[in-house]
Amino acid sequence: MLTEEEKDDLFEAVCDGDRETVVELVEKARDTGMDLGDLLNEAMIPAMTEVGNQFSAGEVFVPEMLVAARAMQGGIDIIEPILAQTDHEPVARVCIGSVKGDLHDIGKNLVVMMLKGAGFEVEDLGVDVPDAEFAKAVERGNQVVCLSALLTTTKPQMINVVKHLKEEGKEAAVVIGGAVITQEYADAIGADAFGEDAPGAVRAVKRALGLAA
Amino acid sequence: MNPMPQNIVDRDVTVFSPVASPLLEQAAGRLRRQKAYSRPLSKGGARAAGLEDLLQQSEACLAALARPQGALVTVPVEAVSGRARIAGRVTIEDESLARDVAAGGQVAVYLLTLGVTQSQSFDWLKGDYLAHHVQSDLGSEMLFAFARHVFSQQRSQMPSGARLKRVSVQAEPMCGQKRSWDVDKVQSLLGVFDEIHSNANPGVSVTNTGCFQPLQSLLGLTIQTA
Repeated sequence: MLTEEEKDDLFEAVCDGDRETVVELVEKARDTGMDLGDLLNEAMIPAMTEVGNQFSAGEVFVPEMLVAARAMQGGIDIIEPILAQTDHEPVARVCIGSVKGDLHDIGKNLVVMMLKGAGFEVEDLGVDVPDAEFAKAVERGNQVVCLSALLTTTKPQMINVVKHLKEEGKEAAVVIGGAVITQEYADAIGADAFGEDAPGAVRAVKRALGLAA
Repeated sequence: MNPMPQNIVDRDVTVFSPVASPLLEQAAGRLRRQKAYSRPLSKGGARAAGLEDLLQQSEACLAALARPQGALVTVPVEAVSGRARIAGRVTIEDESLARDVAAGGQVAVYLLTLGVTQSQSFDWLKGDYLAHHVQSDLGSEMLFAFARHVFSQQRSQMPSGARLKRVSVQAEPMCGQKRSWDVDKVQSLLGVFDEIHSNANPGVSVTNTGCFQPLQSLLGLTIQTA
């Protein structure tokens, strides 16, 4: 078991991007038979949430968020195979892609990273994704469809995806984001939520699923 | 540093195929000096070490994959009442350009690329999202380093006192850009490298939504004025 102080150390280690300490503490938790799902939910995911909040508040830059995610990943690499053998469920299953015609992946990739750090199972569909691929991803069990667009020329493609999902009768929440996207646009096209940045996308997914206000 | 061996194809076209390493070195230095990177790096400790590791992975990726290629093509431009018709194929509303052309300015179109796609670098990095993000930042700096060197070469061949202006051409405004071009006009201008001067295009295309492929490519105009 980790002591409360060690759990605090783990939280700080993720925030500080200290991968070595994260790995050391998670290994200790594993070796002493601690519930690793609890450790993930009580110390590690809150740490990534904290880093995301610091980013949204302009207190840290993207590279600092990347290093925190790298430290987090060091712990997840140990935890994941163990949880896979239990009935532990991810927070939810999410698919994500840049819409048809959009080849930009940087924003999308940041969202993938933050969603994984928040305990979601993420299926990355890539860039230039045809509408039908999002519908197929819902058929595979994804509960949320995240759409990314960086260009004004590709933004309207989001409307087509929303329409396509409705026409196909796919029950999934749609969350949109990207440099040219606004809350007003999300409302106009019938998306369930809008993420203003990568941590904001995580909050938006939670709102869309009714997991957060 | 002379990373730009260049091959003059004909009097209107200059092709660039620089050695990548000096550009990469310059780009890595500039990226490390950006506030987003310099702040965590300067603090030291685990965060700096982690970031340094991501930077080194990114540098290794670009050292392995980047093949900078570019071309600069001198084109005829007609100026008519505030408009400029470039290479007989693209007309744009640009009073400043039209004025410079009317005053005898010489226009060239440049096309530069690192020659590596996002998916190639992502695969090389074995799907590491974190390193791929840093690689994208580094790739952008490397492309700008390439562009600075091309313009420096161009300036070195200009008469004393002449000035060189640059107009970036893209279908979408990026950070700090004031204007964007219609996608059809971007495609048409890109055609200068395919149709008018065949084999001058270093493998860059633009989609009908305005994305360059590879993304890390630059298209633009230079205007040399007296």
